[in-house]
Amino acid sequence: MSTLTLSSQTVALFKLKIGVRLCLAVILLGFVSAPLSASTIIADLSRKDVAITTDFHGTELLLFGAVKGEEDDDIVVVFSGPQTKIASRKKEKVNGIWVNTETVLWQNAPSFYQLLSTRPKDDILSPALQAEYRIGQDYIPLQTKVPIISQSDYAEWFESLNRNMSQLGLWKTRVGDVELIRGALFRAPVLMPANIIPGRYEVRVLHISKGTVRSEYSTTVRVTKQGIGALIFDIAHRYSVFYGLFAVAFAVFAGWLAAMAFRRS
Amino acid sequence: MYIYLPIAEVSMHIAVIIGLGGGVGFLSGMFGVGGGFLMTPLLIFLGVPPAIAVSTEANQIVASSVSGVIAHWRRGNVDFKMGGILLAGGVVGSSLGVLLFSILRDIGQIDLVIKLSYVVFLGLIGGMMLLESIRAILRTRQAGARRGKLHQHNWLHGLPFKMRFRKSKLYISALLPFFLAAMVGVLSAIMGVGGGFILVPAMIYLLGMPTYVVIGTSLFQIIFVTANITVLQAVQTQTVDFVLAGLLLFGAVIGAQIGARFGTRLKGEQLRGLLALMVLGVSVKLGIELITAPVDVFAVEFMK
Repeated sequence: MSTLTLSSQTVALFKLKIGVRLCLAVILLGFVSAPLSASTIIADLSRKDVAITTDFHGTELLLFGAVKGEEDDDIVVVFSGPQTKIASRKKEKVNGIWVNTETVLWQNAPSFYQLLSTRPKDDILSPALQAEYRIGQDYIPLQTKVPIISQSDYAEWFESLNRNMSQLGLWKTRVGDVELIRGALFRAPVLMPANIIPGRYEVRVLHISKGTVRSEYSTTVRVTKQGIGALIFDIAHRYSVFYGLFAVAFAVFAGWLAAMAFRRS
Repeated sequence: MYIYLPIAEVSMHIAVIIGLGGGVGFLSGMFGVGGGFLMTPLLIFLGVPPAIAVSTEANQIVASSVSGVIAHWRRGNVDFKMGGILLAGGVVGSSLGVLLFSILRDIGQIDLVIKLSYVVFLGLIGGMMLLESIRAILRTRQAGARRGKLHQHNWLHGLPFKMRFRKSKLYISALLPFFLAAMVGVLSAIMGVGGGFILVPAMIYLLGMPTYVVIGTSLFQIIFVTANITVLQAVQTQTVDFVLAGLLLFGAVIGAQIGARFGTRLKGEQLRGLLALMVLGVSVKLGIELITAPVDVFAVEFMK
């Protein structure tokens, strides 16, 4: 998002007449320096690009940063992956066997959501502020294809989604995983399992002091498929007829080769 | 060493995949069966999504059927005319099966239908095979027991479109093999199997084909049915993972050779008895899964 706005500003900049240019340069300078003076937190990651290659088996990133704060301040990290459609299915016993009977389609669920903090979030922030800053799985703005009217039904379905995604290692709450050193430096490991999907991952880091959010810093991580696996995936989706015929030809050849190799003379 | 499968989008240990191929290959070499009925449920059990498991297994069966048919073809044990009728039916049936598969997947019932098909068909075939082999073992013990007729004439032989199949020494309606293959084709597409375990006994007992042409002819038609499923699934659902298929195949080729050598040490009826137990085992295992309460009644599925 930030690179996008910056580039549109740059384009706009070129369109302006020479006379205005100086004035704008001053404003732009102010824009760049302003957040630095107000901000009390800055963070970065050990890697901003994660490549899903043939030997990918999940990875661990290290988030680290500096904060202008006190010893007993808190840090909260919200790390969320690209949105996706997820079906939650509920099984019931019908005539003696377990059958999927109900489905809820989540239209915009984050495929990955990690909440990391120095202490339990309820000890750090009021529910109102948690809601305002969307801290925690229960504040993810979710939409379902068919709206769930009843509040208790929604709670049950949401709890199941949270539990299932957590089981897959995709949604996690890790209390105490952010280590704050002398109120100045912090670090947090972020585990990305093998089943993450490619796309833009948003990282928000919040500096919390005495029940208020002092400052927020955001950055992104890009996950892409690369190498031969990415090529195969691309061909399978873009030239699917060719891919299907190739898969059959490959199998016929491999079968023939096997028969020749083990031919009994 | 882990390998990230490009289409399945799961990471699996390479030794697990090759070992799985080898193990199933060993059993299929020993018993002379395709092994799809073992491989597909095992892949699903290991976390490969059902759609990927079924399509990828179809791709692998193309290869194992090609390598199997070559030996039978050399010995002249393939009835190409019968095979042609069967494959026409098989292609129609498997195309319907692929369509049915995607509808069932969309409404979230594919897992149930896969499991139910396994329970019913493997249960039936396995039960019949077990009874037959027990009878055969008893028969060899009591000397002098007589064999019954190979096949009886009934209403099936009164159907129109009669055709002569020289190699199979048959003069029967072409509709019979066509619809038989169509029915098996639907099951192939849904269960991720070649369907030999239904087709072979049906060709012997229902069509009355001589045993020596049955295996070669069924392998011949399975190549086309599974090739059809592979292409259709690749185009419609992009669920064919040929990297996974290739690795499974690598293990299966080696396993089948060892299995075939091992199999020659056992008697025919003992082999059939063991195979029957294995087939029944898969049926019972999946049946238990259907009736026991799941750990969590809720589950998530990523949609495209």
